[in-house]
Amino acid sequence: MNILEAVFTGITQGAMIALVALGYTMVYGVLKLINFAHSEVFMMAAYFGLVFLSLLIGDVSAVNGIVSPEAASSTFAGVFGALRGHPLAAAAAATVLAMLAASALGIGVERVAYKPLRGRGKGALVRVTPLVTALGMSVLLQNLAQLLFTARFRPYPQVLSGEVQVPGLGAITSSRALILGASIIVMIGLELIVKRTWFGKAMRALSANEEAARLMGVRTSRVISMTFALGSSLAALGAVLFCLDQSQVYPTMGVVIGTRAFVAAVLGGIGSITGAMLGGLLIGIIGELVKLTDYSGGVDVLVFLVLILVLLVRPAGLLGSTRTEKV
Amino acid sequence: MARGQAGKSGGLRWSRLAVGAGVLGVALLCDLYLADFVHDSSIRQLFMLAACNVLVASSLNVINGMAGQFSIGHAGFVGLGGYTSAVIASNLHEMLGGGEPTFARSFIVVPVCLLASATLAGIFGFLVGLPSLRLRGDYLAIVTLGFAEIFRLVIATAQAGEDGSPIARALSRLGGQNGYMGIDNQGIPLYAGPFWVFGLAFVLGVVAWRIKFSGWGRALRALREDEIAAAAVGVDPTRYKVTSFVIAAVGAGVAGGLMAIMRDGTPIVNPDNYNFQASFDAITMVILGGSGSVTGAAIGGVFITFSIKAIEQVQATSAVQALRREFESLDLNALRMIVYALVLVLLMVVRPEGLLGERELFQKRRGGRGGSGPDAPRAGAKAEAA
Amino acid sequence: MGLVLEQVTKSFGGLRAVGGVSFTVGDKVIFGLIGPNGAGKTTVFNLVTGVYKPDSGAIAFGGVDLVALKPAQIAGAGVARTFQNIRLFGQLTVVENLLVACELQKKAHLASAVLRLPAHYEDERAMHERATELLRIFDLHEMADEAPTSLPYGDQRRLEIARAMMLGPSILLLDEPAAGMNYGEAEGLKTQIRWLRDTFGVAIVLVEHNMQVVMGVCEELHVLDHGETIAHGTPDEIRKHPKVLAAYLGEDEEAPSVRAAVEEASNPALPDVEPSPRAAGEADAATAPPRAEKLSEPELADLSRELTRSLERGLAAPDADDEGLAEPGAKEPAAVEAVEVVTAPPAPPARVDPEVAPSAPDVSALDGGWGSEPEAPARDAHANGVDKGSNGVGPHGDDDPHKKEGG
Repeated sequence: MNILEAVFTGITQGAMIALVALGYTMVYGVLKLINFAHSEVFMMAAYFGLVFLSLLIGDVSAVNGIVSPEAASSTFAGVFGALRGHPLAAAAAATVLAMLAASALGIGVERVAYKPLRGRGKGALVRVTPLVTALGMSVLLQNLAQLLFTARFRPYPQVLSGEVQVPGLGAITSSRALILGASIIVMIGLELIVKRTWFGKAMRALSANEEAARLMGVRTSRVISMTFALGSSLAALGAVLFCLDQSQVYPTMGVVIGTRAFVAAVLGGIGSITGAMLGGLLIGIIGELVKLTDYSGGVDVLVFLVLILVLLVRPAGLLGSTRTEKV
Repeated sequence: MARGQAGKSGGLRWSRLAVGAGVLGVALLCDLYLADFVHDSSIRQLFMLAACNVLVASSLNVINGMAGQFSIGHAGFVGLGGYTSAVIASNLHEMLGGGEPTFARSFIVVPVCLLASATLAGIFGFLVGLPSLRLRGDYLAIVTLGFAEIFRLVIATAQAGEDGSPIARALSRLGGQNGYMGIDNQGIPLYAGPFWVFGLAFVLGVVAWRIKFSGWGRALRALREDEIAAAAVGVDPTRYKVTSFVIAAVGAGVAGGLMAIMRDGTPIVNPDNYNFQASFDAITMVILGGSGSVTGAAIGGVFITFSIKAIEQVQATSAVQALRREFESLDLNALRMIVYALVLVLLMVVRPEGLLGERELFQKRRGGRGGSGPDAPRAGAKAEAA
Repeated sequence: MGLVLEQVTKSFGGLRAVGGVSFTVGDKVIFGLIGPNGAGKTTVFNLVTGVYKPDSGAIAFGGVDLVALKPAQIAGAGVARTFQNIRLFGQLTVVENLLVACELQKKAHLASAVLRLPAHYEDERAMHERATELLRIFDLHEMADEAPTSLPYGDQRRLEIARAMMLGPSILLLDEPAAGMNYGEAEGLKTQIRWLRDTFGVAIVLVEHNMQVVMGVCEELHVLDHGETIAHGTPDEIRKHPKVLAAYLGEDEEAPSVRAAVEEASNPALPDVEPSPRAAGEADAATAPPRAEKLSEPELADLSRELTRSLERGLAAPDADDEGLAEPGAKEPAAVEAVEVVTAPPAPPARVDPEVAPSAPDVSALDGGWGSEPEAPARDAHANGVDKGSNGVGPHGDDDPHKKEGG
């Protein structure tokens, strides 16, 4: 069954897109700001993952020009030598490290580009100014990646080979099974964090009314930082999983995947976490189904059309709520 | 403001017409004799490119500055205009019998090309702007980004065999990733000389100025501040925003059309000319000069054009080439983008209104308040002439 | 024909902000829409002006169905409004604020402005003349080129009315025009409202808490509570209406003590307490201290206890402030729980609402409005020259030497 297979691939793709879309939607929920730099955090995280993974498995051919072989053998060999020969453990460790690094980057972006603007500006500039800095950070990171890692496509080490038998579907590659499994676990975890923990409550309070949340003793700066960290680490997870499956890293990958993820967030209803997951899945499935047709190159065109259609028909997205201004 | 001007507008109009005719005359002289004074064609190209970029910046300024929206896909409309103009110019040239593009013939070719570019860009501007401008401003940003990327991707990846659909075949004739080089790859006929480029930069600059200091511009400023209050006094937010977006797209279409068939330019349009970086450059032009300021946009346009050129020059020097052999990743253009991005972020933190803010360079200040520059049409005409 | 509302309802989330309200405002009538905080008055304004669309019901003005129109078109149909929290265009000059309101009436369009055709100059000149005239009428012409944010609060309110009048409306909706005004200013406002109606022939709908103004100027009153109509009639009828009294004063036992405290607070010296020039509505904290000084220790304790109690209730129901229920954040999952609370107990008596109580004019207004003759103190005030801040429109304003103070 071709279509069934495509749908399944679409779901794995969609799960990955949803992980990135969550970062957009969470930041939007808290700050009412589209974090353009998020897609570049995703891209940087893919590079972080590549560097860590290469070091951990002791094969630095993929990162030539970034890490010199000597440095690799001297610093990391002793610490992580134990992981050599255990590609799965190495991949897991690299993912966690990439998530941590991406969190730091996300917090850094917030501190540099958004925090200084908060509560400032006047009149019409209030809305546009953060968009400009967001865009500026995005361009900055993308070109930084180009300077640091060059524009060429770098292959990811293939640590996950082999297939898994899934009843009803036949064999699927183990990387896809991993993407799917990890995404499901993460999404459930996120749902729990948002609904059950203090941090989730603070986040939602901040989203509803920042001033009131501050008055109630929520340390808004910290919550915002944590939101960025959480969103960025999810993007990092998505990035590493994506690269393990698709095996290429390049500086403009953030734009391609980032746009899809953003559309997913809008489709599901920006600000809504469940919406981002749903939107991601839909975009993933649509993308894979399009690949079955003659217009396989038109995925992004279609994604864009979906966005316009959603904006026309249901601007708040599938699960979003419209917010009208108080008069 | 305009009060009392109706009375003296007779004399004023004549002096304005004289200024306009003078500028066009200078542009005409440039067209005929510039090559004799400036022998280096790359310098001539630079000046004309600067004029085109002034157009790009002042058109983006209508939506990003005056209307307070945020479009980040301006290059898409520029590219749309560029390709339209290139294709039409090539075909018209063929129909007119080929040969050298003469100045006389440019009076047929250039207006047709630019009209088509402007129309097409305007139509797409409407299609993109209507759904996104009905909603929050951020949507426009992402939709324009998507539009520009998709325009570029569609052209760059179009390659159809003979069995493809008519649309695919037509698109594939645009040259894909290699760019469009006119019919049979003999190059796009470059009809638009300095007369057209400088003349249009002047005329459209005046148009932008007048839009800003008309009731329309005033309504946009009101809208930018408070949509609900503006609607309550009869300014329909959607209508005003969409119209200004279409104006911006039309301006971008004209600018792109001019660039594609600009004398001393390259006889080729390439999808990579219209990538995100180009959009970002346009944004930088507007913001550096001051969002909402027409003269600021012009200054930004000239400055960015020159700095891009300067980077290219430096990049080509042997010293840098040698360095690049040493450090593979040394990319001055990426470095330039990083610097611009940093400047932009810093500017937003320190002085979010940009160099001039909303003020104009040649504006009489009234009531000690900058920002909301009141009408100064006469000063404007002089500013443009100067 | 006038403005006709028929069975208009509007809900936000699960909360019914306006439930089946019907009324008709005839031509040239001064109509008051009153009710406790959260009664849905401003929501009615927002429904009439198209900011919100009603869930059901019909709204028509002069035979034109307003529900189908966009806000700008409704403005074009002759319905002008002001806002509860002043919404001027701060980056435009005073005169430009008025000129924006001319966009609809302009005959010349963008093209003629760009080509600078004679029609453009004709338009600009006509608009300027009108704007100047209106500014003169509202006594703002000397600040024409200033930033509206630099004007004192009362001037800002009048500028907003002038801007609305620039539309040449047939009906003018005023949302709490007396908020933040002192006694004298409120008296001036009454004159101005009547004068507006007489001069321009507009019908005026007034949402107002200040009973001094409402009872003094309105010819017809419509009382809302919790989104529903509870009474309709002349001011005299409404004043005695038992349901209205219950809605305003509340029935729980705390009310009397609160009333006593508030009445105490509104001692005769109050009219002299100028509200801070900038947005008194926002600056409650700034106006509160001088008043508190006039209270004795036990009274102060009493009042603060009441305020704390009502504040606590206000926090449990964050949307209880006027029209706060319009806050669509109510639909956000996080806020839903809070909204449910709102519907449960009726809000505390309006007078101790944290937003209203500390504002001097409201208190004095209640004092004068309910019970005693409303006009008597007004005449006194005039005779004593207390109302030097009145800044009267037209007939009053022009010969008042003090009107510029603070400007």
